[in-house]
Amino acid sequence: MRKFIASLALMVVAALPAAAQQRINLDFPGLADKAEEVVDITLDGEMLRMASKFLSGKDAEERAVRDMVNGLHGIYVRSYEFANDGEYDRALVQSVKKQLGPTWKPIVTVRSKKKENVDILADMRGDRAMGLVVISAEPREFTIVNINGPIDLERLADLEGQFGIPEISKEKK
Amino acid sequence: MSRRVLLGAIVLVTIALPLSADFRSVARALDSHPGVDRVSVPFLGLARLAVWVASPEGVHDFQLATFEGAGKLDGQQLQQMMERHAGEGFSPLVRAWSKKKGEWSFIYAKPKGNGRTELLVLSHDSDETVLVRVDVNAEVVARHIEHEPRHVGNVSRR
Repeated sequence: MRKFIASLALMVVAALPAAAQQRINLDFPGLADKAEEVVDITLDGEMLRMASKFLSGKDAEERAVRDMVNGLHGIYVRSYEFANDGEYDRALVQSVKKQLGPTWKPIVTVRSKKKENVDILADMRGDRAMGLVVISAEPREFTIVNINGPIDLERLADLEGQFGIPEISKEKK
Repeated sequence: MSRRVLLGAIVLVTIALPLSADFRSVARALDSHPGVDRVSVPFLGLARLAVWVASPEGVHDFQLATFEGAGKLDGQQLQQMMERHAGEGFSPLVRAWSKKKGEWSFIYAKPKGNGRTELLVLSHDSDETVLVRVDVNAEVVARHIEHEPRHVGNVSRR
C-alpha cells in the first residue's frame, strides 16, 4: 500500500508541469470599451481541433502546422486599436508578465521609444516550449497572443496569419 | 387531394425540423428591440428542409434571420444579447468590431460530437443585421474546400 501511495505521489508530481500550464488571464476590464477596433479570438479544445481541419492536408508545410496545432491546448488573441496615442495603460504589459511563472523565458525583446515594444516569452520545460506569449504594445495598438501547449519554435513562424495570429515577422521587414 | 397531402407533408416536416432555442432566443431578443424589424426571406423554410434532408457538403442544418433598423443598436447591446441568449454549450470563438466602420461580428460555437459543430454567427453593420446558425461537420466542409477551392472563391466573390 505504501508503495502504491509512493508511486501515485510520483505520478502526480510528474504530471504537475503539464497541469501547471494555466491559461493566462487576458481579460482587461474596460479596455474594449475604449478601443476603436477589437479582435478577440478564443480557440481551445475541440474548437482548435475543428479550426485545424481547415488547414490543408495536401501541402507538407500546412500538414506539419496542422499536426502542431492538434497538440495545442489553446490559442488566444486579443487585439485593441485606439483612436489616439496613450489611450491605454502601458502597465498592462507588466500585468500580463506578472502572471508568468519562473519557467517563462524571454525569447525576443524589442524596444522602441516611438514605435512598438514587442516581447515574446516562452514557457520552457527543459528544451521544450510548452507555451508562448507575444505582447505587442504600440502607442495606439495593444495585441496579445497566447499559445498554450507544446510548440515547435522552429515552426512558429508558420502559425503567423493563421487563427487570427498577426503576421509579426512580415511586419518587421 | 394529392397537392393538399403534399402541402400538409411539407408543413409537417418543416414544423418537425429541430428547433434551435439558441437561435430563436437571440432572434427574438433582436426583434423585440424597438425599431428593429425582422425581414422575412421567402422559401427559406424549404431551403432549410432540403439542407436538413440532403446535408450537402457537411452542412446538416441552418437557420437565417435578417433584420432592418438595427443601426441604433450598439455592439455592446449585441454582445450582451449573444451572451445572454446564445444558450448552454455555446462559447465565444471570435468577437471583432470596428466602431469606426460600425461593424460588429460575433461567432459563438458549440461542439456537438461526431465532428459536428454548431456555429451561431451575428454580423451587424449600419445597413443590416444577419443572424445565422449552422450545424456543420468541419472535416467534410474542409475536405470540400480543399477539393473545390473554386467554389469558395465563387461564394466569396458574391
